[in-house]
Amino acid sequence: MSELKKRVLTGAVVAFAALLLLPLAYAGGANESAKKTSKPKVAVVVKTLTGDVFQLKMAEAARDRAIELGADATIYQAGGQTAVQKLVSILEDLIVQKVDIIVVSPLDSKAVVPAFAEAKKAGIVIVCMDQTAEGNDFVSFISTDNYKAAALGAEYAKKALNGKGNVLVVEGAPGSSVGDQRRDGFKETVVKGSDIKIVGSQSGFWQNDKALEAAQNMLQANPDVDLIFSCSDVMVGGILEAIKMAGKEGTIKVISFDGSKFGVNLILDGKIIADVAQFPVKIGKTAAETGIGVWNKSIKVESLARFIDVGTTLITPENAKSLVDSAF
Amino acid sequence: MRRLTEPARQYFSQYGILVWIVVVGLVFSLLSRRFLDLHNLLNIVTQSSIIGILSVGMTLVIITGGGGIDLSVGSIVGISSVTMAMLIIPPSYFRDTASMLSLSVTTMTLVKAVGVALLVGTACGAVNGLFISRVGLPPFIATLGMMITARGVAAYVSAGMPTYGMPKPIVFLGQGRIGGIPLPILIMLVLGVIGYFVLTRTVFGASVIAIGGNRETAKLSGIRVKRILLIVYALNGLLAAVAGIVLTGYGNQAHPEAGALSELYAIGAVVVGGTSLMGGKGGIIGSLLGAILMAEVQNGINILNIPVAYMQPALGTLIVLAVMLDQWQKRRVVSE
Repeated sequence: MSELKKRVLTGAVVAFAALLLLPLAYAGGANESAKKTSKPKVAVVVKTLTGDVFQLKMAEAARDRAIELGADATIYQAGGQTAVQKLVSILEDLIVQKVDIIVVSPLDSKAVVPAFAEAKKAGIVIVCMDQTAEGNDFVSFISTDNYKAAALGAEYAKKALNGKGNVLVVEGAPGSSVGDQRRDGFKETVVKGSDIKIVGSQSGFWQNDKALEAAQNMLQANPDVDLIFSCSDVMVGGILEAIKMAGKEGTIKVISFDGSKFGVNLILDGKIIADVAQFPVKIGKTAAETGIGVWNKSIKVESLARFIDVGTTLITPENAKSLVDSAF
Repeated sequence: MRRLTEPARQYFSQYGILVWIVVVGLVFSLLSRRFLDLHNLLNIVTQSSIIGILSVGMTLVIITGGGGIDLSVGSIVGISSVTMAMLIIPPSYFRDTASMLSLSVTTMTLVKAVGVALLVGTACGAVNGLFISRVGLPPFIATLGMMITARGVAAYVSAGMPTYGMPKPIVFLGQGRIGGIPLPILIMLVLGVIGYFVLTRTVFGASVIAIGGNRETAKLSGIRVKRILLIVYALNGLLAAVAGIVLTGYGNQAHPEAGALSELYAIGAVVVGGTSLMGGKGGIIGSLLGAILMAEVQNGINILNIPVAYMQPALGTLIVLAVMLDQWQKRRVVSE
């Protein structure tokens, strides 16, 4: 080989080696800066922001609190009350984007399990809010204790019915752990120590018109109903329409769940007798605080409660006026 | 023997759905005394109306073949619902309709609100039609894009919030009765009859079927394929807007998420009704019957208080069985 060729070859090998080693130097620096940075990337993931004021307020509260605490926070939505697949793909995208904290209200407690496992492996802190998931890959679940809250509604129902009567339940979408807890909390409590019978329990799919149809059909099957429990304010409008269309306005009492402004106004209008209130803003804030706290190690995961109950209030005609302004 | 069974089989293949409706109805009636009464039967048909109205247009779309489908009708239902509502509520109510409104509006306001809502739906359909006929996008892709876009615009226009409480005339469209028959049923029937006549008795209808049968042949025989496709999708958008307005009156609530998933049920009704997804043949009557069958199943499940976990699998199985039956019948006809 000629002298020139040897030099060129050597030069090329050295340059190539330098190129290989360069990323190492850069990566080392990047790692150091990553540890020093205190701006975590927070992703707030909910099923929808549209037509569901609860999810909207909760998501905004989580994002705003995270930003207050010095994080970069963005809200992602799956775009529908049953858009499970989309929610899972959002989670998968977030893992690829290497976010630090995911604050999420999983639509379906089972479908998100694989994505959660992957996220945990990638070192992402997951906090569940409003709805929980199966498994152990999230650090905490912050919500209303939906079972206990619905039980509060059931106690009021028992009082309102003097311990006897026929009751219908309009449930949430199938597969929703939140909906199931509210249904079970109400159903199991309302029959304890009373002569109340649950004559029908069907799904309203968290949608106004589907709830209308379910209520309409259940009223057709049971002409003698005294009270209907709606698992959410988003469905209670349709239920009231169904009662009206069956000509039973005024003869059937209605209790709802959520404590939204719409629900409280219905109490003030005398259309429903009670609404079990949730505090989506408190849930969102606490979820963001928990996520960031675990991430920057100011909260010890071992001492963190598995479930944080943000509490509930029963709104009735007695206290509705004072609570309407703070309702979400 | 064959001459006797052939017309019978033809009749069955067209109106086999009617047999299914009767059979399912008999089963439910035996299981519950409350199923077979006039009030409930009217409820079933009313509950089928929204999907029924959607299925009239969807039948035409699917008959045009070449992958003809419209995934955006659900979103058009939503966008027309909130467009109408936003043009009805006074500006001060925007973002703040969290109580049951009982607005009394002038006829002019109502006409404008409904008119614009219908226009928006037609425009969405026309955009679909243009992308499909002029740009050559596959209908699945074009209408999927519209589905997402329309939903997004609906959310923006309404600030993501529902409007509770519609003016009386709108509520009448959804809950009122004329001569004892609920308005949604009347609207579905009128649109169904018009659709039937257009499809079977007009040159336009014949062209639609020809396009679905063999697009090349249709083009060569002088049919203006592009223009007809545009009209079919635009009409479908218009019908979806009508469904949106009726739905808004029925539930007395305008909602940006209105009509979610209804495109799938509309397609299901059309398929169950006997229209082939390959295009070139089908019928409006079958689609309406398909919508009624689906509403009947849901109604029966609610009345018998069957756990909801069984409802969606039941409807899904129904659709699959119907398609299988349809394919099996076609194969038998071909082999003869």
